[in-house]
Amino acid sequence: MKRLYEKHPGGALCGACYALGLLLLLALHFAGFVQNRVAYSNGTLAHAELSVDDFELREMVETEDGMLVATGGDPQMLLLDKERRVENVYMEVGYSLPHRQQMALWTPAGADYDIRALAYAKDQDGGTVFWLPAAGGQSLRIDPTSVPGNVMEIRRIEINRPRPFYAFFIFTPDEWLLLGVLPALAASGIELLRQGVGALRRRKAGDAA
Amino acid sequence: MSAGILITFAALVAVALLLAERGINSAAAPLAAVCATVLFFTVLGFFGGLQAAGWLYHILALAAVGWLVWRWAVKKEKMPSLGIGFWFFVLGGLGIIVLLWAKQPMFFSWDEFSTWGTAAKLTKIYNVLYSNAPVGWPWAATQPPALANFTYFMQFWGREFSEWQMYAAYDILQFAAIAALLRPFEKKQWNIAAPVLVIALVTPFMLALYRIPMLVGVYLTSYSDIPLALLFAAALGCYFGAESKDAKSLLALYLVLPVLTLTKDLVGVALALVVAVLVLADMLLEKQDGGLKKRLLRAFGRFGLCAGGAVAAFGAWSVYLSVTLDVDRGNLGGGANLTMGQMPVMFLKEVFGSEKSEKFRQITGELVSLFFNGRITFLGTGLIVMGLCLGMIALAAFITKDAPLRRRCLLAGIFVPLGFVAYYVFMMMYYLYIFTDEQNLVGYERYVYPYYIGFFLLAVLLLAMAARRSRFVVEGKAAILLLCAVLCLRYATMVPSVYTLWGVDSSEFDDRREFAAAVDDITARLPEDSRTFIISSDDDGLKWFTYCYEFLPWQVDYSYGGGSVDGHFVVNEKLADGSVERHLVSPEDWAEYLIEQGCDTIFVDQADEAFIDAYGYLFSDGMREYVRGEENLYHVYIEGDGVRIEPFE
Repeated sequence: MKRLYEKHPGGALCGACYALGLLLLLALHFAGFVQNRVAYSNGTLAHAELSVDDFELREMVETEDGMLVATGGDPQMLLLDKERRVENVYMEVGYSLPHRQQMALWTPAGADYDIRALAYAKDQDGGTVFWLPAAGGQSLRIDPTSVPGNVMEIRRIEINRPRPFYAFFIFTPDEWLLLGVLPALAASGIELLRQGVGALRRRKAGDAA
Repeated sequence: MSAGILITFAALVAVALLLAERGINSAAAPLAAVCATVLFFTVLGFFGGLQAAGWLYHILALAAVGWLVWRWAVKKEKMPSLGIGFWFFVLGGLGIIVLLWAKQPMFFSWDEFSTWGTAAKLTKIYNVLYSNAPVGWPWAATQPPALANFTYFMQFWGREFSEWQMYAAYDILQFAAIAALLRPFEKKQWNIAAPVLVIALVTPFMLALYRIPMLVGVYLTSYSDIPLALLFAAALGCYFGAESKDAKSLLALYLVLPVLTLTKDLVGVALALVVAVLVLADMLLEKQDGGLKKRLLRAFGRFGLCAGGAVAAFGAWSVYLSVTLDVDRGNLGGGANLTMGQMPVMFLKEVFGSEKSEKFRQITGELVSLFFNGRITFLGTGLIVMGLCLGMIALAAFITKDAPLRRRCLLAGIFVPLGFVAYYVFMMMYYLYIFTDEQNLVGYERYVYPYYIGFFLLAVLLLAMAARRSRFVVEGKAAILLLCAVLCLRYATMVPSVYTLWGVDSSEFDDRREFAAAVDDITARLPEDSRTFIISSDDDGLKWFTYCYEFLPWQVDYSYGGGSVDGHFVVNEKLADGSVERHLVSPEDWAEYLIEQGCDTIFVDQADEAFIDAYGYLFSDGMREYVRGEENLYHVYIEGDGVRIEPFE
C-alpha cells in the first residue's frame, strides 16, 4: 500500500477517494434500507391496494364502465392524503393507445411538485412499478400517459409493496454523477492542502537556515 | 448495427495514437485526428468520394495500427507518454457511446429537422455531400458540411442513419476539443487538470443556457453552436497552451481552424480569423532571437498557415457550391440582398453618415443593450461573463512566475475582447442586412455564446497554467478548484438532470419513436421514387420538416400547411389594416401544381374542414375514407388536363 502510494501518489489518492465515495454512497443506501424496514415495522409505511376513487383526477374522466379517458396531454392522478406515505407504486393498466411516458412525482414535505423528485416507470411482474426514495414521500402524483384520448383500464394499483433488497441499491443518475466528479475534486483538494503545507514547511526551513 | 460506431471510434483512436507517436502532444492528438478526419472526408467529398474516403480511412487506420504494433511490440520502442487529455478522450468517448446507445435519444428541436439532422441523414443515405443530395423542396444548402461529414464517418458501418450516433459523433468531437485544453498539464499536475476538465464539461451548460425549457441540448444536440464554441475554445487553447511554436506543437491549431470554418456558415470563419489575428499579435510581440526580418517571417508564416487554412476552407466550400449548385456565395441574399463587399461599406456609411435608417438605430441599440442587460447565461449578462474572464486573466498574470505567460495573459486580456468587439460588429451587420425585418434578433444567444465559451475557457486555461508555477505555490490551484466548485453548485441548482442526456429517461423519446414508426408504415406502402404531397392543416412547419426528414429517401413536396413554409399553396394577402388574410389557391391551380411537381401521392396527416370543403371534391371518395379514419394515403393520376385522386388500396 505504502509502496503504491510512493510510486503513484496521485493515483493512490484518487483511488482512495473513489473507494471512499463508493462506500459512503452504499452506506447511505443501506441506511435508507434500514429506515425503510423500520417504517414498515412501525406502520408508517403500509402495503395497500387502492382504487381509482382514492385519487383525484386531472385532465382525465372516469366513464360509466370504470374506464379512464385522458382529456388532455398531461393527465394526472393525485393522491392528496397527507397522512399516507408512499415509497413505491405498482400498477397494472390497459391502454387503448401507446401510453408513451409514464412517471410518478411526489412532494417530500408538502411543497410543490418538482421535476427533480420523480420516478420513471419500470416493468415488473407484468405491470409497472415506480420506486420513490426508500423513506417515502407525500402527495403522490401519477402521470399514467401523455397521449390525449387514451382510454385506460386500471386493473390494479398497489402502494408500498415490499421492494426487493437489490432495489435499495440502484443509484440515481445524480448519484452516479456525484460519484464520478466529487472524489476527483476532493482528491485535488487534499493534494492542494498537502502541497500548501509542504511549501509552508519549506519556507519555514528556509527562514530557519 | 450499433457496433459499427465502435469500429470507427477505434480507427479514430488509432489515428490519434499515430499522431502522438509522431510527437504531437497526446492531449491535442485526438483533436488533430478528428479535424484531419473531417478534412479528409470533406476534401474527398468535394470530388464525390465520400464512400471511398470511408474505406480508405479504415485501411489507413489499420496500417497505422500495424505500424504502431510493429514499433512498440516488435521493435520494443518506447510508447509515448499518454496524458490525462488523451485518456479522457478515449474513456469519455467510449462512455458516451454506451450512454447514448442505452438511451437511444432522438432529435427534438426544430433545426435538427430543418437543417442539421436532415443534412447528416442525406449524407448517409446518398453517400454524397448533403448539398448535392436530392430533396423535395428548395433546400438552401449554405451551412458547411463539417459536422454532417464527421457524423457520416462515425456511422460509416451503420446500415441506416442513426440519430443517437449523430449525437455520439458530436460528443466525440466536443470531447476531443475539451481534451486539447488539457495539453499543458503533465500527469503529476492532475490536481489542476481534474478541475479544469470538470469546468470545461460544465461550461456549455453555464454559458449556452439561461433557462431550462425542456430537454437541454448540451451533449444532446445536432445544432452546430456548441461544437463551434468548443472548437473555438480548443483553437485558442491549442495556441496558448502549446509547448512551443514549431510545426508539431501547432499542428492541431492548423487543423482545427479550417474545421471551425466549416462548422457554421460565416460565424465559423469569423471566429477562425479572430484566432489567426491573435496568433499574429502574439508572435509579433514575442521575445525572439534573430533579426526583425526573421521575426516577421516567423510571425507572418504562422499567421498565414492559420488564416490561410480558414480562408481556403471557406473558399473551397463557396467554390464547391457555386460549381455544383450554381450558388453565388458572394451574394449574401437575405433582407438587403447585398454582396460580401457591399455589406461592410453599407455598414460604415450608416455608422459614420448622418442618415441612419430606423432599422439601424433599433438593431444596434438593442444589441448594445443586450450585452449589458441581457441575462442570456446562467452566470449573468455578457458584461459579467467578460468581467469574469478578464478577472481570471488578471489573476493569472498576477500570480504566475512565468514571464512569457504573463505577457500572453496581457495580450489575451486586450486582444480577445477586441476580437469580441469585431465579432459583435460582424453580428450587427448580419442582423442588419442578412436577416429580414421579421426575424429581428432571432438566435442572438446562439451567435454570442460561442465567443463567451471560447474566451471563458481560454481564461480558465491561462489561470490553470499560471497555477502550475505560482507565487504562493497553491493560490492558483485553489482559485481553479473554487471556480470549479462554484460552477458545479450552479449546475446542480439550475439544471435538473432529467432534462439532460445524463438523467433523461429513454421514454422521453417515445413520441418520436412512434412518429418514426408511423412514417415507416406509410413509406412501406409508397412506390419507389414516389413524391408525396402532405396535407397538415394545423402545422406550424415543425411537423412538415419532421415529415420531410422521416420520409427520406422518399421525397416530400413543399406541401400544404406548415405556417410560413407553405409557399405556393396559401396566398397570404396583406390587407390595408396590416392584418393578413389567407386565401387557398383554387382547386384547378392545385391540380396543376401537383402535375407540375410530379407529386404522385398525397398523404393526409390532418385536413381541416376548410380544406375538405375547398378541395374534397377532387378526391374520388370526397375524402370520406380519410374522415372515417380508414385511409390517409391517396394516389394522384393525371387525367387529361386535370388529376384524379384515389385512395390507396
